[in-house]
Amino acid sequence: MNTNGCDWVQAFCHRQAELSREKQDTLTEHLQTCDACLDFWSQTIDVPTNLKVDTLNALSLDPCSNAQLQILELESDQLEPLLSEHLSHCSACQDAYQQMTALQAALSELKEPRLDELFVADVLRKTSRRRFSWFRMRGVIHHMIQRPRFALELAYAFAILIFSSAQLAGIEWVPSTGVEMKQQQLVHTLNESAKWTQDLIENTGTKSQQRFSSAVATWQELDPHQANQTWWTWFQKTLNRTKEKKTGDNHDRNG
Amino acid sequence: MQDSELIQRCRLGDSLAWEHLVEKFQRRIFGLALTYVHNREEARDLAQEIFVRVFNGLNQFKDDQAFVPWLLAMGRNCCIDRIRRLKVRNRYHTDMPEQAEFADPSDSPHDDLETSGRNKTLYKAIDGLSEQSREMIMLKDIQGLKFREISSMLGIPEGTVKSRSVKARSDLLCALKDQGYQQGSLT
Ligand SMILES: [Zn+2]
Ligand SMILES: [Zn+2]
Repeated sequence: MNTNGCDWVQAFCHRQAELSREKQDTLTEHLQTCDACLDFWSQTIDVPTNLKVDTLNALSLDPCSNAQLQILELESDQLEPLLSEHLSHCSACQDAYQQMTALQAALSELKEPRLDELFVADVLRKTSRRRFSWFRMRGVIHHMIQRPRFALELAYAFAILIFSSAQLAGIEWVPSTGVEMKQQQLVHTLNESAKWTQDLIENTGTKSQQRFSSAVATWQELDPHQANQTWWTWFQKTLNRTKEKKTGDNHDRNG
Repeated sequence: MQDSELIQRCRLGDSLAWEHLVEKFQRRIFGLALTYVHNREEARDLAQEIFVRVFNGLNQFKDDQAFVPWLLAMGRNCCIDRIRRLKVRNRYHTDMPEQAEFADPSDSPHDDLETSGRNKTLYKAIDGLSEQSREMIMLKDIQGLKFREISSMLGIPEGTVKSRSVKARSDLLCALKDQGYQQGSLT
């Protein structure tokens, strides 16, 4: 705490210092001896009012400023017993009180001034039908989103919609990209033509072989990672075996 | 019907509920606009803009919130935006008056002259306050919000709201005295 009481009080009034309960006693003591600080303190509005009232009460110097501060703070007709007691014997504060209640009554009359009857219709026109349908849609969505089960319900409805429309269209539900679709078509074709493929490998007809090689190339290009899949493995083995067999045959013929 | 139920129905597109909501809060929103722009026509227009904004923003309202502070916060933001626009416009059209002449908010043949004159004086006194005090009078004394509600609306501690309110009331009383208001003339 600053040794200079005046500085400290002013610092507090400017909200640059804190005031604990025990420090309040020190403050009260200083205010009793220093008129300048008392004036400053009484006029400073930023001091929390309860603290100010407490201090003024403790000072017991100016019951009228205390009362008038309370009058300015009035929230309802309910008067504090102490204030009510003071008003009963102080005409100046009684006047201030009456003035305050009259002012409050007059101000509360400004709350709902008269307004012409067309006002509502004008507002309704400005928030008219087209706006209202958009508003309504947003409202319904907002209302639904607020329900906790909404996400679950939405996901369920969405899944049913997708599956039933896929079934209606005769599509086997495979979540696939364009490339995957092509692969599936190719696998299908190759599987279907297993017999034809075997013939082709065994007979090694040039034109058919070219067509088949290009199909295999496409297959590899589309998915090199699936190269060890069942069909492909079988095909490679068969191909190698055929090659070995043919080489063997050639050796036999040459030898 | 509770406000929360009304809003729920508005969100589902119930146009009757929306009409009911506008009907219920129209004067309050108009009152709010009047503390910012003072001109009856301008305030009426501003109040409509606030309702359009509320309509578009109803989905941002959370069900555990209190509706009135939310509504007033939205209205307040709209008013501040309008004032900002007006200021920019005035900067480029210097021939325009800085402030429109005060219209009596309760301008109606049925109002007795004394009451409407008093409101005019009150608005004038409020307008002479600092922006901070004016806002406190508007939120606390005119709209009747609680300190806690103003604190969360403005994002400042409740103690600060309380002391600002005390200062605003005291400033307003001074301003009224300066305008020659004697004690008792408000009643
Ligand atoms: Zn001092
Ligand atoms: Zn007194």
